Amino acid sequence: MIERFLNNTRLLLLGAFMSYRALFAWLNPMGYLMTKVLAPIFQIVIFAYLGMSATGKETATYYVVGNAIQITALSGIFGVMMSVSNERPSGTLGLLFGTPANRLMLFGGRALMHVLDGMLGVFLCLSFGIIFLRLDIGNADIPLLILCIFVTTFATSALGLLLGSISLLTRDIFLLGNTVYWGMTVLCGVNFPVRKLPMWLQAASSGLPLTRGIAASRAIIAGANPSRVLPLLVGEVGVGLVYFVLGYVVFHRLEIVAKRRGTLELF
Amino acid sequence: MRKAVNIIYTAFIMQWKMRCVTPFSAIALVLSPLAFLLVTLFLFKEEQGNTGLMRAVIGCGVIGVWSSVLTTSGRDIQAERWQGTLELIIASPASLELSIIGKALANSTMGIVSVGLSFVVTRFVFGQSITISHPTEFLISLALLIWSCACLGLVISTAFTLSRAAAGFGNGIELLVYILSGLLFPITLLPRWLTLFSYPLSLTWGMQALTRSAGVDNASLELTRSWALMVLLGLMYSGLSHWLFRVIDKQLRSSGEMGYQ
Repeated sequence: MIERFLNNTRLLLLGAFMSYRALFAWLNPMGYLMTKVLAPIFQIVIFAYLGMSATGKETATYYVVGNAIQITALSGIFGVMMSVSNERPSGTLGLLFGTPANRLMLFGGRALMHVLDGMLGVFLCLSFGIIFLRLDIGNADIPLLILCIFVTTFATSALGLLLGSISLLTRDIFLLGNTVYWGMTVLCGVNFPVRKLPMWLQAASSGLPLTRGIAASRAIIAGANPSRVLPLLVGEVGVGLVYFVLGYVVFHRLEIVAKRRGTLELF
Repeated sequence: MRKAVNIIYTAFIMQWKMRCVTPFSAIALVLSPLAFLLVTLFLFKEEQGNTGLMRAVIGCGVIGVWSSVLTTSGRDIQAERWQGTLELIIASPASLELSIIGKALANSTMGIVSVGLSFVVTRFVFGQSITISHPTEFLISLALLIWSCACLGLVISTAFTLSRAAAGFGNGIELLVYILSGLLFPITLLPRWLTLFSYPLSLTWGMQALTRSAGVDNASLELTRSWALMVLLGLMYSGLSHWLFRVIDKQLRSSGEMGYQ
């Protein structure tokens, strides 16, 4: 029992580390700097200035927080998708499906490093906001804010796992990833309140990660009581768990179908 | 001359056909500009006729032109290398430069899709009124912007081929140019020192010309001056890329690593 637990933990951690190193295409100094550091900062500047020109200079915090939290999607969607779907072009999907290793650990491990990496990205963006755009986190409950960032990154990565599984069926992961990434930018209350959307889009928004996480982050930074924020965080965890389970089911189902048809790595 | 035009035209048509079936085109021409446009429209939802809105709507269209140029022109020569066709092009009597000029023009003109999409969504989905005060001047500004962007695409294409480090800049500079060129908000909002980097970009003058001819921004430069600057910068980009093409040609032939990836 203990041996099995240790073995699974090793598999989870090693799988997380190895998949991050081997399958995350932006893991080189220039790619990381440009895509994971500078591009998010530029995104914050663009939307903060655009937003300020629409709603006034005093509203900068709204855009900085929204976009900083939304950056979790960069790791959560693209990073996790790459860590799942790049198995196929790398020619290792067949080997992966051939091992007796615990699938849940293998699957979950794909997201682990990206959750940490995503959180790092959010901290970086918030720091930029504090230094250059006068973001004030003086009233924030910092441990609760960190928990909120973790929960949001987990939920976004869970969606990334689902998309990664689906992308095993496609040739082009970037079209799918970009559609979801930009869709979330519009739908999740990143730059304007969700209530501005038509009702049917508000319903879609409530089923996506980020929506509650961004609302919770804004509330925490404004100094809201934890009791007001906790329901949002619980909701975000729930959304994340649903996507995680869906992703695992799709991954498992694909494995069965691929083995039955003998079409493991066919494009 | 006729032969050169024929090569450019053939490359132009081929590139259009290829890009029409590439999923990546949908990202640069539709997804990304549409996301910026929707955010802009929801931000300015209650403000009919706001000049900031009109500027951003035009800017969202121009985003498509720039994204298309950056993401595709940056990889055009590399794509030939990956497909194993670079050796054939270099060895053929038709020059690589002419072929890439045709492709760059195709990449840039495809941006018209984004400009059209931007206006259609704003007018028919969001019901916002769109008035272009001087349509002829607007079209001339758009044509010059597209041409100068194609010239900029040639510089990007050659620079990304010569330097792997430069190719890594792609993801970062896309959004940086949105900021520096004032595609979504006026560059006057930026710190003064930062605007120094806006001036060598033809997109900056293109946006000024477009907003001025649309009647949005009367404070910007006179149209003719913006046009002249776009032409000047376009010629400078062309001159620079011509020199870079010669460097590439020499390197490819002397190193013997033409297909090396």
